Amino acid sequence: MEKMIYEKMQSVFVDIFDDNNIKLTPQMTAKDIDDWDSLNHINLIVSLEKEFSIKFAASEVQQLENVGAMVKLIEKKLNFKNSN
Amino acid sequence: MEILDYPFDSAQLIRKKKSILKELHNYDTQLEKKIAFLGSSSTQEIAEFTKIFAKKNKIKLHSYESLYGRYYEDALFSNEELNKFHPDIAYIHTGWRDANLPDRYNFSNEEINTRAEETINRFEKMWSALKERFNCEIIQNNFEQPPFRPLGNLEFVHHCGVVNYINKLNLLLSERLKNFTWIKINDIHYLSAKIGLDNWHDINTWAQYKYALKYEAIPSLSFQISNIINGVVGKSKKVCVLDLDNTLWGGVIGDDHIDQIKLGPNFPVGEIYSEFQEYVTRLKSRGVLLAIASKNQEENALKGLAHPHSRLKPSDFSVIEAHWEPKSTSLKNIASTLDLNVDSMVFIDDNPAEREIIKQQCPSSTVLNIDSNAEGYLKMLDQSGFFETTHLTNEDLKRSELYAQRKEILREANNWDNYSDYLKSLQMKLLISPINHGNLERVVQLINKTNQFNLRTKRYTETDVMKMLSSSNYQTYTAILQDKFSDHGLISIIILKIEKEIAFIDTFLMSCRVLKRGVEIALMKQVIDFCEGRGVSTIVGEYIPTEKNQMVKNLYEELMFSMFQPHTPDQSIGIGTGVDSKSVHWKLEIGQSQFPSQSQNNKYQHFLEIVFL
Repeated sequence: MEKMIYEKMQSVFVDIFDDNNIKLTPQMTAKDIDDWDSLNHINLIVSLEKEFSIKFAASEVQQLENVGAMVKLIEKKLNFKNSN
Repeated sequence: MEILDYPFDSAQLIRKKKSILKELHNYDTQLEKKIAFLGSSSTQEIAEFTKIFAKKNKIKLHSYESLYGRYYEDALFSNEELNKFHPDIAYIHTGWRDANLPDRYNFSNEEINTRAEETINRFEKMWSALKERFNCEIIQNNFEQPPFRPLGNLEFVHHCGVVNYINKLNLLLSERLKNFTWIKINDIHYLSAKIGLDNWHDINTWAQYKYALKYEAIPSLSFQISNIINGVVGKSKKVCVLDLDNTLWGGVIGDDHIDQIKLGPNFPVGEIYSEFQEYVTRLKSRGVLLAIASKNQEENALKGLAHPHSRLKPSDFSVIEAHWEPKSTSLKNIASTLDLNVDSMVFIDDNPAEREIIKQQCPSSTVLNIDSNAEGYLKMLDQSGFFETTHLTNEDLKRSELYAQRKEILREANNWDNYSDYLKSLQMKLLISPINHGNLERVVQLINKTNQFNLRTKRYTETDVMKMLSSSNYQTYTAILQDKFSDHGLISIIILKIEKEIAFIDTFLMSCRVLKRGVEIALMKQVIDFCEGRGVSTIVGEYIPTEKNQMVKNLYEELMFSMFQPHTPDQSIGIGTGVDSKSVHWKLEIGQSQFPSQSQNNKYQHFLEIVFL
């Protein structure tokens, strides 16, 4: 599951930042990618929601400190979705 | 870039935005405009996508955006940065949150009416201030329905209902705009209904990022704005080129019996084609020219249009190309018959192979992305926004009639051995007047869409032209041509910029459908007479070559001007400013010229009766 999430997430990052060299790691934050500003952040969140067919709540988005936290949140949401 | 064609996938556009921007970067640009986004909510992404769609239409937009919460002050009082930016276009991005919605259900009718009036007055202040300060075009959102209805369905009827109030406000807005004809409305009331209010409103996007609409709805909004901009700068399409078999009816007219042709109420799919024909008729009525490009014998094509349920008749089409030549040839023939460019055409054909040929052979034309199912045609054509216009002029309403008369004239011309006799028989009248409020709309339309007989191809907005009118340095001419067949309307414009003893021809253009009538000679004679009276010694003309204006390459020579090299580019009269070395300069010394007696087409002007308005 985690591997699948990383792979899909990687493809979203590659598109959003138009950079084939991006390799996601759990510790990665906005500081590590040049173009990861507030505007691209919205594009990223919206595109991740679309990719995984999930919705982030406003309170959840505020708490994402790095890529690893994003993956955990997505995994939690997918598990919840699948169990329903 | 097909990813940007309607119906685009908004989620895909958001995700691929960066690579789209990269690809568009090298797209050629035909004109540049400055647009200020004045929003009561965030506009950043709206601006980005508007620029993307505009760039695809070959318009490069530079943008200014109000700081959050400052749009009203920006519009009313401006600021240093906005002053410096000096927008050509201001887009006021507002919506239901700016409507001052009633929040109780015990207001009197009068209180509600006052509330609505005051809301619109507040907007009017912005329009007036922007107009006064920047003389810019203004695009204004109307109001969409809010995401709630406390009173349920009764909202529609009750005078305190928010639904009732929004409808009232929009009606009031449209009434008020009759006095503000320069405001272009951006109908988000329609757009939000079209994509669905559930896909438009999103409390999360508002709460977190202060966007007044759902993030995925932004490309649709920007697409609509970019279509309005096309209308403002005169880049909308003019001709709808249609295939016949399986496009205007179901079946093949050359093979099937007329009873088997699917059109009208006898076949389910016939209803679909009827509705599409009905729609195309509406397009014609609003000034879009219709043409046929069909691989058929002409008699078969006409047989199909004579079908008892065919809403479209042969006379509705300005050109009918029915033969077995490639359709790219048909398209070029249509263009030359109408004296229009292929890039003003939209091509509609159910056959993907034909669409592909046109895409390759006539890349500047627009091919409607339909699949082969008739039910999609109308929606695709309607929602693509090709024909967006900001006004409906009298010319628009009469356009296809004018072209029909023109066809008649051309036919008649072939019956004359002597062209002069023919011109004489036309009993032409040329009505000359300066540019004024009465003809401004048409003038701006011509300035922005004339490509062929256009010496400098400078595009101006209504605002730009108004500025010239208010300066004593400018002298303007317009000409209306009438003959026994038709009133051609306003067909030519000259704008002179006068600096001391030099008159520079800033704009000289003519609609191609009145070529070889002597109009340009008669007008130049007026220009020279005026210059003599004003103490001008030299008239300077410039030819800036484009892909499309080869036909006037030698015009100044024909008008007895002599070529020269400007030694010191004189900024004040615009010679050599921002122009590459390809432009050619011409001058005519007052009192020393052989014009018009020696010019080769001089005799033509004698058949024109000149009337000053």
